[in-house]
Amino acid sequence: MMMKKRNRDKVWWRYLVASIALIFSLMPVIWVIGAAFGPAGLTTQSVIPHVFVLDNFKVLFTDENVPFLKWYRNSLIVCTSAAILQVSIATFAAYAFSRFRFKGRRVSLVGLLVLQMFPQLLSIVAIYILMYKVHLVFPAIGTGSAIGLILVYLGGAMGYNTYLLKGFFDTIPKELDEAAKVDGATAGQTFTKIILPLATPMLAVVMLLSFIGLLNDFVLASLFLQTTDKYTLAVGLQAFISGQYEQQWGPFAAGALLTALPVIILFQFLQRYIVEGLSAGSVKG
Amino acid sequence: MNKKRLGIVSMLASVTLASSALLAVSAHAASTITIWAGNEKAPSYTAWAADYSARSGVTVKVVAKTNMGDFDKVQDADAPDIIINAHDTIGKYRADNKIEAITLSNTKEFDANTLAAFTLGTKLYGVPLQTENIALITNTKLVPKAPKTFAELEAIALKLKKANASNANFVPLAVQQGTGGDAYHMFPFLTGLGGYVFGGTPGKWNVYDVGVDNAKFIKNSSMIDKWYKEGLIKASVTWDVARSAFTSGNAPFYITGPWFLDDIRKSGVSYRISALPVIVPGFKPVPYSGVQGAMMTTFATTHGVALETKAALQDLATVNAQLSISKVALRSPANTSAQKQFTDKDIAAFGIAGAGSIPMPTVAANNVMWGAVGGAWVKATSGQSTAAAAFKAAAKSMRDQIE
Amino acid sequence: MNLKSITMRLLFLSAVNATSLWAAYTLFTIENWAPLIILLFATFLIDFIYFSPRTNASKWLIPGTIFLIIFQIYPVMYTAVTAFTNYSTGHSVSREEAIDGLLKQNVEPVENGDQYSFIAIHLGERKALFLTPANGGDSIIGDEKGVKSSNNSAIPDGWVQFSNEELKTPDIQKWLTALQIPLANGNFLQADSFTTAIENRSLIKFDAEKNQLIDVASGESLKEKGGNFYYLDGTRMEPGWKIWVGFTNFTDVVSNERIRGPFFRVLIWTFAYAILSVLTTFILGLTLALTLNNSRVKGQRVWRSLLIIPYAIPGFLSILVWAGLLNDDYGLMNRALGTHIPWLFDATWAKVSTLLVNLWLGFPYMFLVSTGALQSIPAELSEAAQMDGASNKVVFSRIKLPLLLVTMAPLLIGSFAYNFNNFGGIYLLTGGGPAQNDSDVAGATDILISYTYKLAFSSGKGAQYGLATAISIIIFFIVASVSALSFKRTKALENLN
Repeated sequence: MMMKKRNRDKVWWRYLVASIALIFSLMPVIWVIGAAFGPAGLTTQSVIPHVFVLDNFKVLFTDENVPFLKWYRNSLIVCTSAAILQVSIATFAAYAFSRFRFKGRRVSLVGLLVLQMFPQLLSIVAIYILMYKVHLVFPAIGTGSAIGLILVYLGGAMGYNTYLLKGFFDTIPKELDEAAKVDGATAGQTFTKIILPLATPMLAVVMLLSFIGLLNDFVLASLFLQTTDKYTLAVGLQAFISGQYEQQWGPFAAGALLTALPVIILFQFLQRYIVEGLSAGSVKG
Repeated sequence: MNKKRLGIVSMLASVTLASSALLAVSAHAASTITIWAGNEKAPSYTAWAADYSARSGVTVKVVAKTNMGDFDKVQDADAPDIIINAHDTIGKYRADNKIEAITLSNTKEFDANTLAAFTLGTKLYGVPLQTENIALITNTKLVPKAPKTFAELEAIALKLKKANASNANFVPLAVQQGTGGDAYHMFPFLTGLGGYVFGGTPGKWNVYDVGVDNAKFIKNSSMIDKWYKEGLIKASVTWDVARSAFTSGNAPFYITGPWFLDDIRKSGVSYRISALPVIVPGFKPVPYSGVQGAMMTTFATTHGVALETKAALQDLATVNAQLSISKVALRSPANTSAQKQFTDKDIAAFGIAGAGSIPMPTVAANNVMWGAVGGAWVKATSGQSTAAAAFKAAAKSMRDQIE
Repeated sequence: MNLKSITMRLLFLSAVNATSLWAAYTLFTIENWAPLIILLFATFLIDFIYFSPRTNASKWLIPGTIFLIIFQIYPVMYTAVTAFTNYSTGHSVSREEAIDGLLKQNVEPVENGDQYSFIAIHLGERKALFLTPANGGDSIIGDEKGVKSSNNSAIPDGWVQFSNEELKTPDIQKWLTALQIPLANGNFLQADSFTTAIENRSLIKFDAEKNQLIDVASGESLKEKGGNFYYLDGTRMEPGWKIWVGFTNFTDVVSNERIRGPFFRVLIWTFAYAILSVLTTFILGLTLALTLNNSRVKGQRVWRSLLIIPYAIPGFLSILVWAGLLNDDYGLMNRALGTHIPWLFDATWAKVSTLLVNLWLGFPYMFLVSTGALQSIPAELSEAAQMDGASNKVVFSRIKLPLLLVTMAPLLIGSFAYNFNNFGGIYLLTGGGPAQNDSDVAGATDILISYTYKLAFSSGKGAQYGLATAISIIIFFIVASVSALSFKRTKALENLN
C-alpha cells in the first residue's frame, strides 16, 4: 500500500528543474543559431534571430576555398576510428587494472593519471618534431597524414577513460568472473561475454565523450593536417575566425552547428545503450 | 604448420610493402618557391604568383596559413622560402635566424620610413608591400559637417548620445578595446595628448626613454578621465561592438583601419575618412603605421632556391607587381610610384590621414608595451583608476621589464 | 588453450612482426640506428609477452602503453628538458647555425668595389665562374680557392658552360649561393644573381681552430657569453643560440620579484577555480541526471539530447559567445536582467563569470557520466532496499551515491586537474584580467597556466620557452602531488564496495 502511494510522486518539479537548466544551456546556442542563420556581417546586439537566411550555409557549401564536405568526411573518419580505438585500448587496460593483480598496479594507475596533468600546450612542439622525423622516413604516418593524427590521439587513450572504466568495472562483482572461470572460460571470454555486456552504458558514454573531444580538437589536428583538403572541421572552420580583425562569425557559426549535428545524432543512437540498464539481470543464480 | 605458412605469407607481404614504400619516396621536383601569407592576405598574391611563374619559369606557390605561428617550429621540408608578414616581426625572425638580408635595386621608389620599418642595423630584411594605418571614419548622415577639433567632435558625439539615450546599441565614439585592451587603436590618443612610447626616431629607438608617463601627457591625461565619465570612450567597446555599431548606423564616429572598409561599404552607411582632429594644440594625433612585407627565409638557401627567391622578391618590389597586388588587397602599395597610380579614393584617404604616422617599433622591448599600455587604457576607461595613475604604473612596469 | 585463441594470437603477432620487419628494413637502409634498435627491442618484447603464458596483465596493457610512451611520455620528457636551457626567441638555434647566420649578416658590399658579370662553368667535378669585369678589362676565372687571370675572352678549353636549367637545380644553386671567391686584398667575390657578382667583404670571420669569431679589422676575437656573441663595442649580436643553463630558470621563478610576487595569489585562485568548477559542474550534472532518471518523465531522450548541446558546440566558440553576452554595456546578460553588472571588468565579478562559463561548459559532461553510472546501478539493489522499507532519500545516500562516487571519484579528480590547467577557459574569456595593481602581468582571473603563458610569451625578451617549461614543471608538481594524495584517499572508497 505504502509503495503504491510513493509511486505517485509528483513529477512536475522534475520538468521545472530541467527547464531552468535548459534555458541556461541554450542561451548561447540561440546566439549561435542567430549568427548562423543571420545575414552575413552580423551584430552581437540583436540576439533573437528574426531574420532567417541561408547565406552563411551557402558560403560553406559553394566557396571553392572551403571544401566543407571534405572536412566533414575527414572529421567523421578520423574521429570515429580514433574514438573506437581509444575506447578499445582504454577498455582493455581498464580490464587489466581491475581484474589482475600485478606488481606496480596501484603506482602505474596513479602514474597514468598524474601524467595527464602535464600542461599539453607545451608538448605540442615535441610531438611535431617527432612526427616530422617520422614523416621523413615513413611519409604515410608522419605529419601531413590523418593516420599519424590518429596515432597521436591514441597516446592519450590510456588516460582518464581507463580510470573511469576501471572504477566502473570494479563495481561488477568478481563472483561473476569466478563463476565463469569455473565454467572453463578464459580471461578473454570472460571479458567479451560477461564484462562487456554489463559495461555497455559506460562504454557508450565514454565513446561519446571521446568522439566529442576528438571532433573539437584543433591544436593537434592543425599540426598534422597541412593542406586544405585534409582539414578536419575544427581546423577548417578555424580559418574563418583566425584573422585578427576579419572574423566571419556567420559561416563559423553555421559550420559549428553542422559540426554539432553528428554529436547529437550519435547521442540519440547511444542513448538506447545508456539507458538500457540491466534488464537481463546481473547475477545468475 | 599453420604458423610457418603464416610466417612466409607475412614475409612476402612485408617485402612487397617495403619496396613500394621506398619507391614512393619522391625525388626533388623542379624549382618551386613557396610563399606563406596569412589566410586573409594570401588571395592578394595568387594572381601575381601565376604571372611571375609564367614569366620566370619558376613555380611560385602561395600557401594561405591559418596560423602564422607555425613558422616558429616548421622544419626544413615543409618550410617556406618567402614569408609575408608585418614589419614588426623582423626582429624576432632575425633573432631566430629565420630570415636573410636582401638588396633591392629600386630602393629610391620607397619612402624612407617604410624602408626603415624593414631595416635592422644597415641591412634590409624584406620588400615592403603595403602600408596601413587607422583613421577616423565619420557617418556623414549623422555628422554632415566635419569637426575641426576634437572638442567639436566630442560635443557632437555627446549631443547625439543624449538624443539616442533609449538606443542601447548606440556608441558615441567607436574605438575598440575590450578586456585585453588595444594600445594600437588608442595610439593616436596617446600621441595627441603629448605622449610617446620610445624616444628617438624610427629605426633608432631609445628603449630606455619611455614616454608613456612624460609630464605633458600626464598633465593632459585628465581629459581621458573626463571622456570616460561622460561616456565618450569606454573599454567595454570590443572590435565587434564597434564595427556593428557603425555599420548599423548607431555610431557617428569610428576609428579603424582599411581592413573593415569592405564591411563599411557593404553596410550602405555614407562615410568620410579623415585624420583624427587635433586634441591638444601643438600635438598631432598620429596613428601607428604597419607595413606588410615579403621576407626571404633562411630555408630558401637550404632548399637551393636562394637566387631565384631574391629575383622573385625584386619583382615584388616593382611598380606593376605592387599595383596589381594592392588592387586585390585593398591597401596602399608601399612603392611610391605605384601609390601615385593607385586610384581607390578611400585607400588614398587612409594614406592622407596617416601622414606622419609612426612605424611600430621592431625592437624586442616593444613587446612589453602592448600589455602595459593597453592595460593602462583599459583601467582608465573602465573606471578602475585615474589615467595618470594607470599610465605612471604602466611606464614603471615597462622600465622594469626592459633591461 | 583452444584453437581460436591460438589462431587469433598468431594472426595478431604475424601482423605486428611483418609491419615491424618492414619498418626495420626501411630504417636500416637509411642507417637510422637509434630508432631501429628501439623498434627491434619493442618487437621482441611484444613477442615475448604474447607468447609467454604468464604475462597476463601485460597482454591487455601493451597496446595502450606503447602509444602512451611514444606520444605522451617521450614528448613530456623532451619538453621538460628545455626547462634547463635558455630556449627562447634569440636563443632557438644551435651555435653552428647562429654562427652561420652571423657570418652571412656581417657581409657588406665594398664601396666602389669590383663588379662582374659571369658565366658558370664546369670541368668534370670542378666548378668555377668565368668573370668579366663590368668596366671592361681582362676576364678572370674564380673558384673557392682564388682567381686566375684568363688570357682570352672565351671560357678555357675543356670547360663547359652550365645551362640555365642546370644552374637552377638545387645543388648547383646552393653551390653558387655559397661560393666566395677570395681576392688578394682580403675581400671576396659573391654572386648576387645568376649573372652578376660583386665584391664583398666580411666584418667578421670564423676561426675553426680556436672555435671563435674574429673581428676582421682588428683581429680580436669576439666576446661570447650566455649564448650570444658581442661586437667589440658591446652590442649583442643576434641570433644567439641555445645553451644549457642548469636550474637558472627555476631559481629565476623564486628570486625574481616580478614573477614571485603574485604567485601565491594566483596559486590560491587556481585551486579555488578548479575545486569550485568541479563542485558546481558535478552538483548540477548529478542533479539533472537524478531529475531525469525517473521512468515517469516523458520525453527523457529529448530532454537529454537538448541538455548536452552545449557540449557539442566547439568550446572555443562558446567561450567567445559568452564573452559577448557578458559585455557590461552591450551584452545580453545585463540587458535581459536589467542590471549593469561589470561581468568582465570587476575583479570579483570576473571570477564569477569564469566559474559561470565553466559551469555551462562542464555540466553536460558530468550529467552524461552520472546518467551512465546511475543507469548501471543494478535496479535490484534499490528495489531490495525499498522492499526493506527504505525511503528514496536513504536509497540514494546509502546505496546509489557511494556506488556513484566509486565510479566517479577519479573523474572528479581528473576534472580538477583539467581545470587547474584550463588555459582556454580563462584566457579566451577574460584574458586573465581585469588588471590588478600588484602585478603588471597577473590579472584577477589568471590561473597558473595563463600566468605562465603571459610571463613567457609577452615579455620583452620574446617567447621564453625555457622559462615557461620550468614554471610548467613546478605547476605540474603541485597539481600532481595534490592529485596523488587525493587518489590515496579514494583507495578507501574502493574498498567500500
